[in-house]
Amino acid sequence: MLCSLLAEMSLQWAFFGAAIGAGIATLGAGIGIGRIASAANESVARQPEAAGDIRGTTIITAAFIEGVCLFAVVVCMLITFK
Amino acid sequence: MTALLAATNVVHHLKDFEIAGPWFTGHHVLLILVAVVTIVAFRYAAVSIATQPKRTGVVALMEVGLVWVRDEIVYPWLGDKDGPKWVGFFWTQFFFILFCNLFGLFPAPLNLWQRTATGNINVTGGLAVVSLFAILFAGMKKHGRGGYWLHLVPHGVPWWLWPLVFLIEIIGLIAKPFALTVRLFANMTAGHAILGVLVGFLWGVVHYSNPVLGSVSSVASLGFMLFIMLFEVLVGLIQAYIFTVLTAIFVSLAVAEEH
Repeated sequence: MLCSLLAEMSLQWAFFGAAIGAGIATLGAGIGIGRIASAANESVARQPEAAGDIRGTTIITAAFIEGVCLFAVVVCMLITFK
Repeated sequence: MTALLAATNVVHHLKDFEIAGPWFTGHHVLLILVAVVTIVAFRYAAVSIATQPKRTGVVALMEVGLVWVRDEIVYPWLGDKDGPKWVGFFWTQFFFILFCNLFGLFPAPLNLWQRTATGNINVTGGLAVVSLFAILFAGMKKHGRGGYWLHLVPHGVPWWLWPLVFLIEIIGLIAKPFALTVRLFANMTAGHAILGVLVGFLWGVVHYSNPVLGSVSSVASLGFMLFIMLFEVLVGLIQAYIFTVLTAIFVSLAVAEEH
C-alpha cells in the first residue's frame, strides 16, 4: 500500500526531498541572476558611460541572490548529513 | 563502474579535524596562521607607507587594496566625518576574510591542513557577531544607550503599531548577521564541495577498465577543476567584499540621523 511505502522508506524520501529542494533552489537563482544580467545589459546599451557602475551593481546583486540559493543548499546539506 | 563516479567522501575534506583536543582543531591553526600573516604583512605595509615617499612592489599592491576598501566601502556609506574612525575596523574585517578565503585554496605546503577557515559556520558566525557588536556599538554611541533601542522604530509609525514594528526590527537585527554567516559559509563550502567531487572523478578513473573513457573523463575533470579553482578565487574576493560592504551599510543605517 502507498502508506506503508511512504512510511518504510522515510529516510530515502528525505534524501529525495533534499535533492529536489537543492535543484529547485538553483532554478530560482538562475532565473533571478538571468533577469539581473538582462537588465544590466539593457541599461549599458542605453548609457554606455555608466558601464562601470552597472557592472559593480550587477556583481553585488548576483552575489546576494547566490547567497539566498545557498541558504536552501545549506538546508539540504543539513538534511542529507543528519 | 559509473557508480564509482560520485562515491568518494567529499564531506570528509570539508569538516574540521582535531589536532590536540576539541579546542584546537585544523581550522584554529588556519585562523591563527591567517591572523599572523595579516598582522605581519600589514605592519610591514604600514611602516613602508609611513616612511617611504614612493612605494613599489608588494606594498604598492597592498596600498591599492587599502585605498580601494576605504574609497569604495567605508567613505561612501559612512561619510567623511565618521569614515576615518571606522576605516581600521573595516580594513581588518575585509583583509582577514579575504586571506581566510584565499588560504583555503592553496595546496599543501602553504596550507598543510587543507581546510578553509571561513568554511566553518562557527568562524563565520563569530565574524557576524563582531559585525553585530559593531552595529550596536555604533548605534549606541550615536543615539545613547537607551536611545538606540527607542530609535529602532522609524518615525511616522502610529502608536498602536509600535510593538509589532519593534518586534520586526529586533528580528531584523538578528536575521542580518545570520544571513551574513550563512552566506559566507555556504559560498566557501559549496565551492570546495564541487572541487572535491571533481577530484573524486579523477580518483575514480583508476577503476575504469576502458582507457578512452578514463582519459576523456580525466581531461574533462581537470578542465572543470581549473575553471572552478579560478571561480573560487573570484568568489572569495566577492564574498569578502559583500560581508564588509553589508556591515558598512548596517553601521551607516544604525548611525543615520532620523530627524
